[in-house]
Amino acid sequence: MTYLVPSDCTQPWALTLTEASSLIAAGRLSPLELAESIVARVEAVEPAVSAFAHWDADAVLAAAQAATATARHDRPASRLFGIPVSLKDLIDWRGVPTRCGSDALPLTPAEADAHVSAQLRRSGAILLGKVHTHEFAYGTTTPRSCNPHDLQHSPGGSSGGSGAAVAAGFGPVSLGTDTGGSVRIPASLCGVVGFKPTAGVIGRSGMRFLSWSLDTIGPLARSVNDVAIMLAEIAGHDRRDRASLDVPRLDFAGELGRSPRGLTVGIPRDYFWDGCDPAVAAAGLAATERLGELGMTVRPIDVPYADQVVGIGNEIVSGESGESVREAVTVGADLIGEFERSSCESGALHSGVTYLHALRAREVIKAAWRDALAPVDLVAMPTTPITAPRRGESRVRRGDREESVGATLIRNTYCANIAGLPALSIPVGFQDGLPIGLQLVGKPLQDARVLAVGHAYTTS
Amino acid sequence: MPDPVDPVHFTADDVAALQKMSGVPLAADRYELIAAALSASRSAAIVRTIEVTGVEPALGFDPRWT
Repeated sequence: MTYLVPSDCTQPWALTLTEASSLIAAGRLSPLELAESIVARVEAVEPAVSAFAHWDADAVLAAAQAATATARHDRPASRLFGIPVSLKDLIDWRGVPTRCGSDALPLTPAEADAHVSAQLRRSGAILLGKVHTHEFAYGTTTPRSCNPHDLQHSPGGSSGGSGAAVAAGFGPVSLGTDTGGSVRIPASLCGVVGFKPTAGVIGRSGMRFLSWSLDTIGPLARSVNDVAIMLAEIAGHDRRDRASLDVPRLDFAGELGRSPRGLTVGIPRDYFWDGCDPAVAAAGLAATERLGELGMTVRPIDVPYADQVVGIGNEIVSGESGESVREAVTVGADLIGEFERSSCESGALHSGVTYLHALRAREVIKAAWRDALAPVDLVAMPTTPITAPRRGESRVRRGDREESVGATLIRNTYCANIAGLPALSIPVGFQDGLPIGLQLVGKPLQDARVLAVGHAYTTS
Repeated sequence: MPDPVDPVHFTADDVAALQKMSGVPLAADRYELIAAALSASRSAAIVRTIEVTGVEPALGFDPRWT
């Protein structure tokens, strides 16, 4: 049995952000009607899917009631007005505990909103609930949640609660975080859209870091247009985040609807396609052919050092997580899952010399991607080499190799974090009822172009 | 390009030595598990296969790369 949003469903909970926002603006749907529909959906399906770490239906309905009263007198403040948005349990929300998916962290409520939570409130969005993360975001499976396409399978991670929530109709959009693919992997495995913007585009103050230099906040939604609307409201300089870019505001929706004719998409010759499940590779290639039919030039490219990226990323995450989650490992170690605990403990023993070597190697990877992207506008590859693994599965086959689930799922996504690039996952097919995703990686600050190509594909 | 698969194998004794140097509080009965986690990453060996002479380490993303 699946718990997806049916394509013919006319209930408000099945609306995209774009649709719901338009109806609210036209006075044909109230925020309360939308919230009541989503609350009913959550309460009917959440026992099976288990997306939420924090859920308070009364608070959601009260906020929606207030928004509805406001809408009687004032024009909606933004496209997010009255839209319920869930947050990964790494992002602070005033008055609600941030536990990072771990029983080792206290139930103490956050004293203030994260930068993005405050932005959402200013936009008139309704904070719907906190959704599960893989413990400390240190993994790609999110064991506490199920994949709405098949409950026996993982939703991916670490933003697995976000992927499951959006796919199941628990609000049209969710905010996740992405260290090595943690927005794009669950988007791919749950059949929704997920976007990691250029590093520094979304302020991160008030989120709990796994890896300070790699972590990026990004939305998961049911359409590319929804992602663009979300970004328009939450992106911008965050003076409390030293990695936040102080650049002119990007126009994320500026290229949506524009034909991709004349753009060039690069297809890596190897690595990103090596050992992919044949059905995943076939769907990915079919999608790139479709981009060609839409007028894009498709050409092969080489990306040097692609096979080195996971090692470099692991080195950086290990070193930085050894510091970022040190207190939790010290205070509540017995409450942490064994894999996550030993990973964090090993990070605490990390060599500073090795960490610095990884940061230098990272610069080599950035240069390799700068050169690879020079003759093209973006690069396409499968988001993950396989579809959703079964829950509890720790090792899978990729081609003729057996390897860990984590190594397989992160194989194609880590590069965008290491190089700081915008990367989008869009659904492009199914195998045995489980979704397949295509990843589009663009040049820094050309987020709008990546979204435009994704929009052109998904609406064609 | 050098062979990236050059695993570093850590033992419980290695972890004990690292623990002593770092001062990080870790229970001795976890050294084997932590050694396995360190070995599983193999990343130290992988990273060293990239020649970084003359490359400055940097944090985050440089917006001038556009």
